[in-house]
Amino acid sequence: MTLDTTQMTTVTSQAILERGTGGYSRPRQMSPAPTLTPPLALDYLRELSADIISGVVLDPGGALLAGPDAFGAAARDLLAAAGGAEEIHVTTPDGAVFAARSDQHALVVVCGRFALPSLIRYDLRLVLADLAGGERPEAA
Amino acid sequence: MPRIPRKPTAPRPRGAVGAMAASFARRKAAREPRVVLTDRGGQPRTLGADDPAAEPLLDAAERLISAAHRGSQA
Repeated sequence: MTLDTTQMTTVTSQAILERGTGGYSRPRQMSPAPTLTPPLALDYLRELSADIISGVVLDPGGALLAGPDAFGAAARDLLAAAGGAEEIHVTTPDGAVFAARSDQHALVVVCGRFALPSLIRYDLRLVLADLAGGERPEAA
Repeated sequence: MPRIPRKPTAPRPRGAVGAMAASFARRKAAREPRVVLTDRGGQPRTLGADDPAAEPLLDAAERLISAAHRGSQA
């Protein structure tokens, strides 16, 4: 590197520092990635899939964290009846219900009859991982 | 080599009638209630509508679906 080039680099970095624009030489603050809140998780799910009509987010104890109150009891009954199953898919002539749970949260959503199960199940796992602030699952 | 006589089977409709019959059968199968539970290992287990374990799940699902339809109409 020639003397001219070295001088130019120093002058440029000094100018950035004096303008107070921060820049590349200052240490950036490390902040954790923001985790999804339960109400945002439901909005996000509805954006991911137009087939999702409504849903709820519950904690491991069954307390309602987000979603309509009218869904709470039925969602708790569904999860209790499924035993230790991690994912639940029930299809009826009027629609379909999908549920997925992790150690921190449970998600229950109601969809139209023609929702694609693999896509809804992937979306639920994705949002559960975002709620927990963990790594997103890989596509199957 | 002697030919083994064919086992007789019930006649199945062919052509346009057969296609319509198959279409009705597929629609009927799609409308039947179905429950699939997946364990932590990712192993799915399908329960028939007549399975006693499926009954509370179907009941809870029907309550959720009717609540969702009521909510969307309001």
